[in-house]
Amino acid sequence: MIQTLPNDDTLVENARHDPDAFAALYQRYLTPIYRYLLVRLGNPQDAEDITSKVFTEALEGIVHQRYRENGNFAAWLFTIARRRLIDLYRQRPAVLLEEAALLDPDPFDQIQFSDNKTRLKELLSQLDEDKQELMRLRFAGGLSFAEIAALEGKSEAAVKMMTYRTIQWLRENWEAKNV
Amino acid sequence: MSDMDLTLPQELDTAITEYYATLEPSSSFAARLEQELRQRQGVLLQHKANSRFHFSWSGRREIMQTLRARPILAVIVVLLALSLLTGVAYALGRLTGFIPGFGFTSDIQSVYLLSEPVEAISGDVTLSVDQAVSDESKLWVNLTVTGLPEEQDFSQAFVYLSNGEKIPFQMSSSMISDPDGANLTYIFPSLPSATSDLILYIENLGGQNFSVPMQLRLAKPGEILPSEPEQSEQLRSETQDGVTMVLDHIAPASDKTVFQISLHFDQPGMSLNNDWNVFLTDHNGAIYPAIDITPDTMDGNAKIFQTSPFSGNEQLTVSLNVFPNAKELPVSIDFSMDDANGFLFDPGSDPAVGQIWTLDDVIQIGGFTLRATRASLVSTTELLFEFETAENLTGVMLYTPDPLVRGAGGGIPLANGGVSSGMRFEKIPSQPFEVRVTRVYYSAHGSWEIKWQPSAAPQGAAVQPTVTSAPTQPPYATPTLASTNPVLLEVQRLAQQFDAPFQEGPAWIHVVTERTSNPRSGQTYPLPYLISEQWIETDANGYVIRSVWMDKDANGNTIQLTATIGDYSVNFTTGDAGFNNGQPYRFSADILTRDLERAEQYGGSVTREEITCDDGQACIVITSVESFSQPTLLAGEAQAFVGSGNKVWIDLATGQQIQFQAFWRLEDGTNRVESTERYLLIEKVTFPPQEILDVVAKVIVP
Repeated sequence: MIQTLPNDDTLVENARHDPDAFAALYQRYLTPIYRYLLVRLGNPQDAEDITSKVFTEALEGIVHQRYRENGNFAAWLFTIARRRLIDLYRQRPAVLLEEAALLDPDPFDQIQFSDNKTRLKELLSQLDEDKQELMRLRFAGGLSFAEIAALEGKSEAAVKMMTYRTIQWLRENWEAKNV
Repeated sequence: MSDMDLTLPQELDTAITEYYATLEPSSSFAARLEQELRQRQGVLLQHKANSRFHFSWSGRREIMQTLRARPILAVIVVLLALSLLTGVAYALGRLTGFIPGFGFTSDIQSVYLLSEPVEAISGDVTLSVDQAVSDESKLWVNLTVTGLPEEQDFSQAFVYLSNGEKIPFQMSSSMISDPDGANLTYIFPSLPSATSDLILYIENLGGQNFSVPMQLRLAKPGEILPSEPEQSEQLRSETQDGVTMVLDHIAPASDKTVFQISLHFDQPGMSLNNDWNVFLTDHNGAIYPAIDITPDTMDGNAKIFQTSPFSGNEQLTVSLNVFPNAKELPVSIDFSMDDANGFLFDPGSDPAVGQIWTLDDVIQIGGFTLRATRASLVSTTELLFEFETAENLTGVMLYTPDPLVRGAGGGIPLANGGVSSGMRFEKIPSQPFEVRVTRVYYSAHGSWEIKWQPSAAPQGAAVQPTVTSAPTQPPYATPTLASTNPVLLEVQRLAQQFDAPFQEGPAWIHVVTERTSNPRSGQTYPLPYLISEQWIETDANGYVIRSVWMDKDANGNTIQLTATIGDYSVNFTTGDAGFNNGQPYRFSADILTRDLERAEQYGGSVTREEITCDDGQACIVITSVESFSQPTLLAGEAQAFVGSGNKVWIDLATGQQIQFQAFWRLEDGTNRVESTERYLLIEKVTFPPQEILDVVAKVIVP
């Protein structure tokens, strides 16, 4: 039988007593969290390590009711991910956020990039950190505008506008490079 | 905003997708983490369940916890490193000792303690460093914090040494004991020998940063409870099915004895998949307290217990206890590092839901032999594998290196003696893929006991234990109802009418209830049918002073047995024991008033219906329903739940709440009954049977 999964908050409520419910949340968010962390860290081992910590902390937070169902579970989970990233950077004080990708082996470099991906990478590197983060949350994390808004403490409209502008800029520069 | 064009040119869209969204976590990592989280959740839920008191009615549980159980403590253990501390290092020739809160230290002569408590205030938050212990294994810092905001972020802690070295913490735990206060513990790596000056730096604790200078000094004689010299040969159980129980340390004092028990496994990767306790009995059958005082930061394979001081004449037996069967330990062995234990499975190019594959693949793993016999596609994304085994396996965990895998279950025993285990995929691979066994689960059979002849408590202290204890807290006062709801007031009036004669003592009250329940698939407890029998002794003022609670199955076998003497309880079945920190209370059969109050508070619906009960008496049925914000569809259920509720039958003549039913409200408006419990007997007697008196007489109160 194919089942329809309930929404995040219902799963959270059930996860306080039902391991299957937390497993459903885990399966829903494992890949987005891992992808987001991998893009930020550029190192699969670190991404796995932080992913483990994020879900362990989320589990503890759910069981002990530190997360209150407010429809923003994804934002809460990504907030944990960001904090654990900061922890990691603090443990490696020589590695600044921007430098991390330079010092750690970049997984994308291990792949035979197509020309398009190489061009995209160049373009993304020209975006400021806020816009890069927006792209990561949107495309690696798969977050909705509302979820990004909750995470960033901005209005959904502001997030949508920033995304629009970023995409516009990417499109213009993409097309310019295609000329 | 609606006219914003957020679409991308195809080429750019493809590049973005490939850049951000093509990398997946490895299947082995995904499966391993899921398994770890499931185990962690099991432990967390076990802690929450607090099996010492097994009140089976949900409403009763809530009330009785208010009356009797320990204050609910939120225990949050945050693991910041995978390298867990392993407890205590053992070294012959050095004297180990016990430090309250910290546990056992392996060399009491090199322990440094906090010179004096230190307090720091920042904003509304006050932090007090109460205790710090530095030994050769770690630095342990215990803090009390008040003024914390309700919502707080995760904090960071470091220590700075006098040479400027900065050491991040490895592990922390917090126990939130009141609305704005918490007890925090941080574990740091061991400090350089003889470190006495350091700065504790805590970042973002309740939004504040703290920099707290601390001074350590060598521990003085008398500050650490020395252990007895080790007698390792005799103080261990026989090794059975690879499991050995060891009595690591014994630290006797004039007023107590502290001891540490650990479980040892003869294979790497082997672990016990359940909480455990010990029973401490003597040759006369007396049950001594074994109160678990294990620090939160110790791993699960060792526990520290506190018991009574001993005269030196006792012949004690320490028995390992795991609920529900102490002779069958649920254990597992991790084989995730062994990648040569799989078989190749070919699902074909277009598998259909319901399709079955007959298999004949033999797997040899860690001395176990498994034969995969069957696979079936149970949904578009889930495959179920079945295995035969000659060994007593209870489950296997599978994984595959195929990138489409999304998770795996631990598996369940099959009626034919085999086991099944499922794997979930993003979509079923169209190519043959390798199926590996990453963990096997089985029951270790045996009886783990240690014979222990304790030494006499030092200082010649009196060691005669008491078998009764006087209430020390003010009696529980029944809250005054703020409600004017006529149904609620009627229920309360009827309940008070019924309870009144039972609240006059001294007496023994004998209560028998039967419970039928509709367990979910895979749920093993409670049983579908249980009879619960309570014997409750009250004093002249009607307050409960002793009680015995037994759960029995349909065949009369005892499933759980609990005794409470004053404020101290011991669960004879699980071995769990401790003080409840509860207030003295009178017997009450009222389980509904509090539920109705809650329903009123949370906007639940309450209905009242007059009926004739089965015995011909006039009754009312009170139904309360709380609706969920969203329908909830659980795995294996045909319909979503939209709410939950209770239904209670009350005899109008006697006021007795005679039957209680818990149900789920389904989407179609019908109810699915979860459990039904009804009173078979409530009576006052002068004396209980001798067997009940024998049970309470065995309990030695610390």
